[in-house]
Amino acid sequence: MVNILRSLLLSLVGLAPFAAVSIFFIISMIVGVGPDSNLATYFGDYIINSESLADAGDSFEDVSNYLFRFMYELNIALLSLTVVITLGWSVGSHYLNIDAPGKAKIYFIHWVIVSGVFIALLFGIVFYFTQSTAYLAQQFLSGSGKTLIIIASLVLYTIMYYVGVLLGTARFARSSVLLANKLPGGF
Amino acid sequence: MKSSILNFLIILMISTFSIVEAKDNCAPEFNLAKPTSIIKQENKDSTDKSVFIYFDQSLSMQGYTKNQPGIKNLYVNVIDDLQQIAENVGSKTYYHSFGKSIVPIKENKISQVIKPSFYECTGSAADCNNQESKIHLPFKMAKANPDGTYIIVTDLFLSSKQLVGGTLSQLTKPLKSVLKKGKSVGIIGVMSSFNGTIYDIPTNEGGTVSYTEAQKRPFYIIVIGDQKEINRIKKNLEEQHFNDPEDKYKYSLITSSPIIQNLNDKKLITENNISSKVTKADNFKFDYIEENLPVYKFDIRNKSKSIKFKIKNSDIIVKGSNGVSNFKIENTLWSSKENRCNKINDEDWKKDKRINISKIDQNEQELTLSMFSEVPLKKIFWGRKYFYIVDIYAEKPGNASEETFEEWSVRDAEAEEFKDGNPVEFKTLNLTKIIKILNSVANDEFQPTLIASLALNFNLLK
Repeated sequence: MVNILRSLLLSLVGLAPFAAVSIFFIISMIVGVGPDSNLATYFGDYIINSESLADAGDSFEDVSNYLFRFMYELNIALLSLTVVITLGWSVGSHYLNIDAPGKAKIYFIHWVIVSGVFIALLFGIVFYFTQSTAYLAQQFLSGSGKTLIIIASLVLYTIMYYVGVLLGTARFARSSVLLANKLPGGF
Repeated sequence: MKSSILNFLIILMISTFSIVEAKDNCAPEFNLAKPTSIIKQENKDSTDKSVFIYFDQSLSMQGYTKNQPGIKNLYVNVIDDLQQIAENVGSKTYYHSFGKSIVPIKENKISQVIKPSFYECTGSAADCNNQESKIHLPFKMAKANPDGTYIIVTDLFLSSKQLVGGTLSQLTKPLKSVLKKGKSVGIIGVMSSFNGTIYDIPTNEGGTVSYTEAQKRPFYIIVIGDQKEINRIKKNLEEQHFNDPEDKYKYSLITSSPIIQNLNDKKLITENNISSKVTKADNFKFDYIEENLPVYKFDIRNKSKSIKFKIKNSDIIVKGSNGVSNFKIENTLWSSKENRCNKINDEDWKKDKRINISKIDQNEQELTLSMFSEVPLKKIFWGRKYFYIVDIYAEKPGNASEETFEEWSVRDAEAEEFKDGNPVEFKTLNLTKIIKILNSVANDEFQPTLIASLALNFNLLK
């Protein structure tokens, strides 16, 4: 049990810096950023389809509420998924009890499957938000804006997950996580 | 006390309903297009009107009066009846012949028009009225007294030199003035038997020759007056003379106002004008607002294709006229993020910057406005309420009449070659050119005319 708690703690330590970025972003979106802020300018320049909005007689301010809601709900969903899967793996890795030749390889296969499911869910959520008609704000995003959101989300949450599982995986199963055996002995 | 409470309740109820009514329009503030004044034909009593008939007395006309064995002589029949028709159109009929000048025909000589002797002249060529055909003279008379109805009977055989420079302007100036006053020119071409000589056929060398082998040749009845009277004369002729399938006749109306009406004036736009995808859509409602603006209210999905709105040509274009070759649309699209009418404020309506949203096409039967064909519904934001107002204008008159008469026309340059082919049915020299000239004068006087205005008020669903 101590080992599991230790894993969870280490996992949370791994998640924390990235989650902080995500939470900061989510809070900014919930509170709403000013029209002159850097974030609003960035959104205006790179994320939204300014031409379509201008054609419709709208400005960024007219649709910012929809866009901010879209962004924070997307990030809450991705953050929740990442945290749940990361902590889940960290706990679950303690229950991998394999005693067979080539067990490192079998641990690795387990990790790859979990990571694959995580990546698939990550993709699924991002696509649901950006490509389906579930959110009104989706239609205000430019093509490059959508690509940017997809790439940024995948990069941030994949790294977050990786660092989380890197630190949180049970010591005996560390060989399952890519490059985890390179960690110093103290971890 | 009771009555004051009752009064208060009544006032409250009335004001509430008024607000609901105003809000229920669910439309932004917009300016209705100003209707173009369509020249209305005067309903002047025909008993007040005078009819002036002008017979072309040139020698080439003589052949119409002589029968050609086995071929129906429509000239004699039609002219005989035309006098009767003219007398029905107006209270007084005045007869004239024209050639070098206009000469009144005495009443006892009118019947001579269908006799060969009417076109003969025993005097010197300089004194005779049958050596040339100054068709501009009756037009000049029409300009001087536009209240009358003018009927010109002629073979319209005009050489190119009569259709340029000063001679041409002698024809176009009075025509312009006549059209400006809302009058129209009807041309009825009738193929009749012919047994005589056609003079002044231009040769390639610059001279002229005559031709005697023609057995058929068209003559023309040109009517200058109100469209109503022109149609009446045409209808009478059709009923009485052109009922045999072998009878060949053509008709064209030259007018500066080929548009019958603005469809909004009499609220002629209905649910039937728009495609069934709208009338069958959820929450469909059709109503007139601002007195005569038809509004289609409905919900539609953003995957839907363009919305068609159709108008029958016969509802807007004067039958037999040169028609309209080009239509234009002026449109404005507004959207509101709030789609509940009672919650929409004036500031919620945002005007779309796109202008090229829809397109308009015309075929022989109808005019089709394809709304949201250029900016498809899938390219505009769903989840909003839209208000789209379209004004349809007739922009440029057509040239249908030129095509109608093309078959009977021969150009100066082709006349000699045509004659050398010994044709039995002889064509009219420069007919298309004459029609083209008449059309261009009419087109100059044409003003872009508002045909219809309509509005769509819809919720765009995902």
